[in-house]
Amino acid sequence: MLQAMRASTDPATTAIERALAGDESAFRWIVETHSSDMRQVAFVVCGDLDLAEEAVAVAWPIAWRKLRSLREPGSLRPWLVSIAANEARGLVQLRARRAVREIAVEAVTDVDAGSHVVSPHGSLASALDLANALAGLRPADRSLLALRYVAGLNSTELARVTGLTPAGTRARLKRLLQHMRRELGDD
Amino acid sequence: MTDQEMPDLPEPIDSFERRFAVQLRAYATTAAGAPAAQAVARAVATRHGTTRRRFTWPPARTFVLAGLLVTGVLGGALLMAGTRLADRTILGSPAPARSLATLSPREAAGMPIVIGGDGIRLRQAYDWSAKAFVDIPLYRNALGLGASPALAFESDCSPCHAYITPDWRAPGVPQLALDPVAIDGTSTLGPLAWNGDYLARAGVDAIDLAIVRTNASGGMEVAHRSIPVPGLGRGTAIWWAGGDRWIAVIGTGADHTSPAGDLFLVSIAGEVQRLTTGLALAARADAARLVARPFSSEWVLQAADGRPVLVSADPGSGQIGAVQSLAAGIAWADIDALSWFGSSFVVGDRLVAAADGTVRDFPNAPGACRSTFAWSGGRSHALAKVINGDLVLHPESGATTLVPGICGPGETATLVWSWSSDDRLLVGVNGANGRFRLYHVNADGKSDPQPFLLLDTVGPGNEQVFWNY
Repeated sequence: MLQAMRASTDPATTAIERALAGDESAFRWIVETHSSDMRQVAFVVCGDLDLAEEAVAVAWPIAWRKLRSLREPGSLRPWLVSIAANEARGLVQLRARRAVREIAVEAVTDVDAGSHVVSPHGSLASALDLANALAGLRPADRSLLALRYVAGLNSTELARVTGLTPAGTRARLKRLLQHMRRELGDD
Repeated sequence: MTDQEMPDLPEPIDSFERRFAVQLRAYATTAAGAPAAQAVARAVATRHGTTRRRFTWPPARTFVLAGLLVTGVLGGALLMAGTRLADRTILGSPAPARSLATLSPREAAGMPIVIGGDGIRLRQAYDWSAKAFVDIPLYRNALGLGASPALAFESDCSPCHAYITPDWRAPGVPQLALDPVAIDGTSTLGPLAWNGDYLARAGVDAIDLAIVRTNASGGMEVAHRSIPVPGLGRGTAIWWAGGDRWIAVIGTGADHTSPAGDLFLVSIAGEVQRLTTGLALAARADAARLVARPFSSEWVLQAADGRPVLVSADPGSGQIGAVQSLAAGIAWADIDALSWFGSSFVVGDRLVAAADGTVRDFPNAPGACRSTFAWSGGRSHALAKVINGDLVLHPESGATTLVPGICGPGETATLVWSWSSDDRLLVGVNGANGRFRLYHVNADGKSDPQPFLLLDTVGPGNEQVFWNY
C-alpha cells in the first residue's frame, strides 16, 4: 500500500479515497505522512510535548470521522495541521500554566568545558526566549504563528482556520510579528 | 519550506520574519517524529469504525486507550470465563459486533476493559495476556492517567496493586502485560487523589505514592515514594489540590481519633503543609464530596457536626483561604448531589442554593426514574437531574433538557464518565429490560437522543460502565 501511495501521482487523493473506503493502510499512510507536522504545530501551540502528543492523538479520530467532509484532497495537510492546532489550543486552555519551563536536558550540549552551552537548534538562551515569548501569547495567536511558519499555510488557508478574511489574517500576523520582534529584542 | 513557498504574505518578508520563521521551525522540531503509524491507524479504525458510521466516538485524551468498560457484577459466568463481552451492539455499525475474544492483542491493548461492581468499585480486569478476566479485590476507583497511556487501579487490599498497561505509543514494547505492582501499606484507603500520573493513599503519618511514568526505553515503570506527614494520624479523604502536584488529606491526628481539624497539603515532591481550618472536619472517607475546580484547591467537606462546608486553601502560600458554611439546615447526609463550586445541592426533588438556602422544586412524576449527578467538564460545571424521564441540566439559572426520555420507570441513569476537554458526558442507563444503554450527552443540549451502545450483559442494579483512557 505504501509503495502504491508513493508511486501515485496524487498520493493524498488516493489515500483519502481508500481510507474512505475503509482501507486502514491508506489511513496509516496519512498518519505516517502528516503526524510529525501535526505534532510540531501542536507543540508550538502548547509548548509541551505531552500535550502536543495528546492533541495529535485526539486529532486523528476527528480526522478519521470527518475525512469525508474534506472536499479538496490537496488541502489535506492544512486541514490536518489545523485540526491538531485547534485541539492543542483546546488542551492548553484547560491546563494550568506551569510556573517552570522545562527544557530537555539532552537538548543541551557542553561545548567548552562548561563555559557555555548550545542546543542543537541554536542557542539555548534564544530557544528559551522564544518559548517564553510564545508563552505570553494567546493560544490562538500561537496557533496562527505555528500554522503559518511551521506548517507553511498561506493566508487563504489560514483564513479558513481563523474565520477572518485573508487580508485580516495577514494584518493579524503582521501585528503578531511586531509583538514577537519586541519580545525577542529585535527592534 | 522556503520563502518562495510563502505566498500572499505581507510583503516584503523582512529579515526578522525570515529569522523568526527559521527559529520557530527549529523550536518546533523538538516535537518532530512520527508515531507508530500502523498502531495509530489501527486504533483509530478499530475504535472509531469506518467513516460511514453515523455515530461519533468520544474525543479521547489518549484515544487508543479509550474504552475501559466496567460492567458490573454481571452474569458472571460469561465474564469469568474471560471469553467475551458478548452481544454488545454498536448502533449504526455496519459490521457485526465482535466479541472480545476475536480481537487481536494489539486491538485489545487499546481497549482495556474492567468489570466493575457497585458504585465505583471495580472487581475485575481483563488480562490481555491471559485472555481472561482476573479478580481485583475491592477496587475503589479507576484512574485514567491523563496524558500517560497507563491505566492503573488501586485496591484496598493489602498490599495494594497498581495495574499498568504499557505505552501503546512505544513500538516494540509488549502491550499485553498487566503488571501488578505492590504498594506496601495497611491503611484504609480514602477517595483517591489523581492527577494523571500518580496514585496516592494515606498511610499512618505518611502518604504513599505510586508514580507511573514512561522510562527511557518506552516501557512503563512505577516509582514508589513514602512521604512522612507528622501529625496526620490515619489520613483519609485524599483529593488533589492546587495544580497537579498536590494532594489534600484530612487526618485523624496523632491519637487517631476523629474528627480532626487540620488539613494537610502534600506535594508529590515531598513538601508538607499543615493548615488549620478552625473547624473539626470529619476525617472519614466520604468527608470530601466534590472538588470544586480542577487545578484549584477548594473542597466541600463535612464538618464534624454534619454541616457541609466549603474550604479553600492555597498550596502556594500555605494558607487557608476561606471556610464557609453552606446551606444552613442541610445536613451532609441529606445531600444527593452537589453542583459545581458547591453553589447548590440536590436534596430529593429540591435544588437548594448553598449561599442562601433558596429552594427550587423539580418534582418527578410518580414512578418516573430519578437520577442526579454533578460533573465538571471543559466549560460546564453543572448539575444534571432526571425529571420525569428527561435528563435536564441545571446550571445556576434556567434549565436545559439534554436528552428527552432518557430513562423510564424503574430505570436509573448514572454519570459514567465526563471529559475534561469538553462538555460531553457519557451517561449510562440501567434499562428495565436488562440492557445497559450508553448515551453521549452534550451540555449544549444537542445530544443524540439515541443510545450509541447497548450492553446486553449488564443487568439492572448498581452496575456501571466506565470508559477510560
